[in-house]
Amino acid sequence: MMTDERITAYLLNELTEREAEEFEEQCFAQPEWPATELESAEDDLIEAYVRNELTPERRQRFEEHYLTTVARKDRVLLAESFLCVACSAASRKVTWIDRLKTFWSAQAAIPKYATVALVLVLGVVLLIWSMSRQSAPRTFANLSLTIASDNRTLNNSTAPTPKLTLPLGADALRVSLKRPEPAPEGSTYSVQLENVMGPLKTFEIESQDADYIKVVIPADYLTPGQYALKLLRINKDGTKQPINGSYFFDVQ
Amino acid sequence: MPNNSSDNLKDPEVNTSPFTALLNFLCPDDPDEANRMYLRLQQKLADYFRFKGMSDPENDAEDALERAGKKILEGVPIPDIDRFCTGIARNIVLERLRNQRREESAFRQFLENSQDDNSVVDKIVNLMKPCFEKLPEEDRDLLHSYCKVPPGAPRAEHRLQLAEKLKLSISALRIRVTRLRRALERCVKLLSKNQ
Repeated sequence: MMTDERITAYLLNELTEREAEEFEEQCFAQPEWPATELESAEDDLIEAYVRNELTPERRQRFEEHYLTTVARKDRVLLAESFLCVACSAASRKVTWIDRLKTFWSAQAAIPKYATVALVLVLGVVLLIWSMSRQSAPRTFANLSLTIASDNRTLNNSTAPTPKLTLPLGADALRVSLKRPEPAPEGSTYSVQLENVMGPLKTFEIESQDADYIKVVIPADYLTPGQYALKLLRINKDGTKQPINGSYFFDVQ
Repeated sequence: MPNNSSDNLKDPEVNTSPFTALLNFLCPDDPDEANRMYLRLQQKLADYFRFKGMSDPENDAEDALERAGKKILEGVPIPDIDRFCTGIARNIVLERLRNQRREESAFRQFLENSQDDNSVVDKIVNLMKPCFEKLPEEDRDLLHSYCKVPPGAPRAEHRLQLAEKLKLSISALRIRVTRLRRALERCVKLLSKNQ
């Protein structure tokens, strides 16, 4: 399957020689070279590098294994320029804040207080509405994962990565992460969801017992691709300790 | 590219060339189909070399096909031409990386006149701005929205929201952005020739 994560792993030389050959053969076996998929993933990788969003390991791999030709160095310079031009030079649209400022400056002194009161009331209503929308999910799909090393090997074997198929059919995914270690007394965890581009969001855990740590990921966060969950242990004294390895799963 | 007229297939002297050997191998009974298959293979190889960051992908593709044709003439058994050419292409990339040459393109020369990466980016930005302004407003807005990720927001989520707003799938959104970016880059390279 031609996922962003696999393309990125190929470009960063993270695949084994055999896997890289298979990847190339799959590209060649298609009626036409999958240029758009490859270029999109490559653009994203370069952009993540330019924006300094890659993990230190991937940044190093990018510099050692991707930036090996003049043409690729040019692509990075072009991407950097693109971000400068497209992210800043586009015609600025009038935002609701601009409109509010204009509206505010046009008000006489007394109506201003009425406006403040109105805005406060609206704010409270909006807050309540927003909280009700973000209420806890009611239905769950379940997934159980075991930690693997960062090159996806599980207990020194390349076990297949669990796959989820969209639509999930539930409000959220409840993931049970098998503990890699006994929990030190008083410690808790947070869980970071990552995809090929790096961290997406950090979640508080739902619960933990002697064997599993459970975390709930809203379905909205999942689009087709490859994901990893990383554990961060929060010790009793408040210090934080990243746990080596990741919990991988694919969404298709 | 060599002359790939279907008459070549009937000429016994030309038949000894790697090019015709490859055409014969691809489709011995139908010269037109052989030509089409050759061109498809050539295009895929050029795309592969471009993906690998080679500076002259079209030339590298010709080189790969020439080598494949020679192997056919030598009688090397080839059960799968795609896989066989992939192997040749891989070797060519390794050779090129070993003997990296300075790229002679006008764009590279333009870049080399700059002293450091920052001034290079400034120069490219100056070229890219007029290219960007020439795009239709809708495309400019799309690129602007695509790359303007709110601070602290995950990029994937931002794109998902943008795709939903534009009533596009994520992949359709990415295809549009990729095509616009390539168009901008072509424009920059064109302008750099006149600098």
